[in-house]
Amino acid sequence: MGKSEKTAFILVTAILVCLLSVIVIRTFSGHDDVRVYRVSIITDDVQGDYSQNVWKGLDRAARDYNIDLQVIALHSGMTTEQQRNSLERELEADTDAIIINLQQNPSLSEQLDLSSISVPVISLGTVWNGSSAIRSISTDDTEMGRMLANEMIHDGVTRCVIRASLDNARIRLREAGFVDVMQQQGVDYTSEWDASSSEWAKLPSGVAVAALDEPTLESLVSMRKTGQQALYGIGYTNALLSYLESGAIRRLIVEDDYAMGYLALKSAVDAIENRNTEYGQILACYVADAAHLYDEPLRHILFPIS
Amino acid sequence: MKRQTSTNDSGQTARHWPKRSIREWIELGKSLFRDLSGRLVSRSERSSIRYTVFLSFTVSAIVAMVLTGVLFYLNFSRQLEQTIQSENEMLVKQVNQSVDTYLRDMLRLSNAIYYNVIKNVDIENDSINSELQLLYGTYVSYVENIALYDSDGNLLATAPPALSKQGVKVTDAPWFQKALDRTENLHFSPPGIQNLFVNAEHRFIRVISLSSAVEITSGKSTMQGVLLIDLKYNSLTELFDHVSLANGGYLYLMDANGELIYHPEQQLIASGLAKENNIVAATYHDGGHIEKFEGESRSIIVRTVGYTGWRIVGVIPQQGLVLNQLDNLLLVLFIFLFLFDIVILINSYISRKLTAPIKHLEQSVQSVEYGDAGKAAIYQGGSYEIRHLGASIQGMVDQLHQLTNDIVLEHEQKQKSELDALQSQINPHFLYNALDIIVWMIEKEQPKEAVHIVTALARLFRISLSRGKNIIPVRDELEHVQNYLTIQKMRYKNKFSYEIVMDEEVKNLSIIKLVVQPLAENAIYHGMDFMDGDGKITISARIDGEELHLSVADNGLGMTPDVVERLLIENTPVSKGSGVGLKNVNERIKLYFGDQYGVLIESEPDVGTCITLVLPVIRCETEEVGNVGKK
Repeated sequence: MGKSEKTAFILVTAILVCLLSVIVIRTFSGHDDVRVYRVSIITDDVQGDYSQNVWKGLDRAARDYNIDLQVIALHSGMTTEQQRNSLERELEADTDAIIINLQQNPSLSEQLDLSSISVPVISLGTVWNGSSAIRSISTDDTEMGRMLANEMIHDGVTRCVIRASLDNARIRLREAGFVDVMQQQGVDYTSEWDASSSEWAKLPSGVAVAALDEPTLESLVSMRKTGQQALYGIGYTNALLSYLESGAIRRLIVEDDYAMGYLALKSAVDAIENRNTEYGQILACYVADAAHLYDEPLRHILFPIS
Repeated sequence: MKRQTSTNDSGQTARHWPKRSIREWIELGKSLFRDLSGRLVSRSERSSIRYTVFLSFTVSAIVAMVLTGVLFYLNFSRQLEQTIQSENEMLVKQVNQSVDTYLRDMLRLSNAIYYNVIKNVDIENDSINSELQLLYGTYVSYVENIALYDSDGNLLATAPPALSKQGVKVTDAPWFQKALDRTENLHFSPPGIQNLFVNAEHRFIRVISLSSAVEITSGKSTMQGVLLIDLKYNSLTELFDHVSLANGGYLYLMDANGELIYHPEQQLIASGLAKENNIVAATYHDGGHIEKFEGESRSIIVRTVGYTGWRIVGVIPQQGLVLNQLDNLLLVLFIFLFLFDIVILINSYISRKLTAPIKHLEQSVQSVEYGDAGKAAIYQGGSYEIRHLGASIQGMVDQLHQLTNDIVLEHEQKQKSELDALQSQINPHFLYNALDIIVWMIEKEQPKEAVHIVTALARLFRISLSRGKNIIPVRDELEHVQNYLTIQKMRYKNKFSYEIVMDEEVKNLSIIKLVVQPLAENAIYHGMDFMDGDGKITISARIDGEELHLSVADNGLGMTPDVVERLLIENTPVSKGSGVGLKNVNERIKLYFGDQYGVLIESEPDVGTCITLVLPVIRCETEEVGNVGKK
């Protein structure tokens, strides 16, 4: 072979060997294997009564993104200290991302030390205070309070009482938004947060009631049999929707739980893959009433297809 | 081509490509092509034939491989796409049939309820709940509930048993209104949440309502009513579950207006987390389409479900469908380079095989060029053309050798002849005799004669040498023979006389030296020896046309014709004189000037002999006479 022919042959053979190496590596490295993400979700809503649609969204996202979702439940019987310890243990476990869904005790998040956590943490339903590294998927609770107040004013309410049984940051924000509008519109209102107090159950006649959370709504609905108060609230369950349809509840301010759950896992995957640096996603909230209960967009929000 | 700079009215400058017409672009392209091809041709002319053959073969093979590969790839890719497309279409068709079968089953159920149950009872007196319950139980996996309403929306019968929700106006429901508007048809409503019956578990069920107008017998009259069958939404969506099309494709179901009935991402679409091109797809007719949506090219297959006007849409993303994935491309590249390597080896072998004979031939010719041809023959191998070429070159080389040898031989003969002629001039006998005469003259105290003889001798030898020249003027040659005759006359005691006659114009012509003296010598030895003073030798030189005739005539004994014949053929041994002979003179003349020149002999016994030298006319300024007259 001539010199140029030898050169060409050696060059092509070298490229061939490199290509073969790349092909072999790609073949045996399982590069095409679909990655399964390990995500842990820490929740205190073990029954899922108030967030069943959230779980539907989580399930759907887990299928779409090949996520092995590990649920760590914080029981209501655990003390805050115990819950915090459990949280911190899970945060140190071998996982790709962590979702924190604290519906009952969202303020627990403020007590956690996340400085040593290397995996992405997503807060579901709560805007995480104190750490800019935590992604959150939530609704604007203050806006929910405002919307509730506006609906009541639209219905001609001139006096109202505020009831809540979960004393946490989210509910406080709702109250703040509600009170802000009421004050602007000059509507009288009183507020009672202690469900065990006798005042809590006292609902004056002709006064509208604003319930800021689902447990309060459920309690008040059952108590409504004894009164004719117009009941308004924030949040929903299937039972509450039935009451809404029947007229026992006049308005509900609802959020798209399915989207929230879906976006939480999607955000976790984006964080694992270093995509999408948006740290706080605020979803819209909606007004639900009996007349439009089965219309869009409420139909897909309240009754998601799963 | 360089960009030009221009300035607009406001003084701003900009650089831009010069504007050219299409014709100018074509001409530019042609000149670039000519330039490139000229460079390639020039390059190939400077390269060895082996390299050119190798490169040509390799490029041709690569081009053929690439073209073939691309054609095969395109063809295979197209066929595969068509196969996948037809399989997908078959799949969509099968799902369409499943949905159609499902809907027809439900239609049959509705008809069965109507014709076998409702029509056969008097609703005023009989209850149809048990029959409905029976049918419901049979179709419980598909049916959520069955209900019969009168035209006012009052519930007449239901299965399973249920209480109507308070405040629900059935007559406002679209399914109710449609049924009464078009009583001849059965109506499938889009999926919705069933809200007719009290649900103690607060379940909200997604159903598809099948409604139809019915005639209800009530006592002696009939009234219109509506039969409602709420189908479980899941029973329809199950027909689409686990159906997946190629390359991550999927199916969805929509009504004639494009509203989604089922979509694998329906909830995400409703939440704004996903998108679908269903509104546009509603405008497609049945069959295959290609669309671009969200930057992605997709193949769409549409089938209309009978009776309802619903449409099943299959979506198959085109990207990475067949052979565009990186792994396949790497494999194709690997195979291509592997074949390229094989091509290099094969072409190297072939080009070597083809051009080796040419190389050998070239080396052989080079050997001839450098003068080594005598050591080896010209290579004659390889293909027929190369062998023929080699044989032809061998023939030419042989001819060249022969010609060279001839020239060398001729040159040697010339040298030998001249050497012989020179030798004859220093013949010891002649020199001895000449010196003897000189001594005798000195002894006889004839110094003048002695000087005359010495001078003649010296001049004789001087002209013989002529400073090494082979061509001398005719006058010098005749002076030479005159000097010779002077000496010989003295020796032969004036037995003969001689005369030299020369045209004036002949004096300055050129002639090869030492050609006349041998004739004079022969004339003396063979003609004058027996003469008693009346011998005469006449030497004449004249021009006859383009020839110079130098004659040496004597009136001696003469020769017979057979002797004359032998004179130029045999090396006649000469007993006296220089011994060079006529043959030498004749050969020298022919060597120098060609066969048409030479010696003519005319002789008659007892009369005399005349030997004429026929030579070409050569002017004295022309010394290149080696080939003059030679043909």
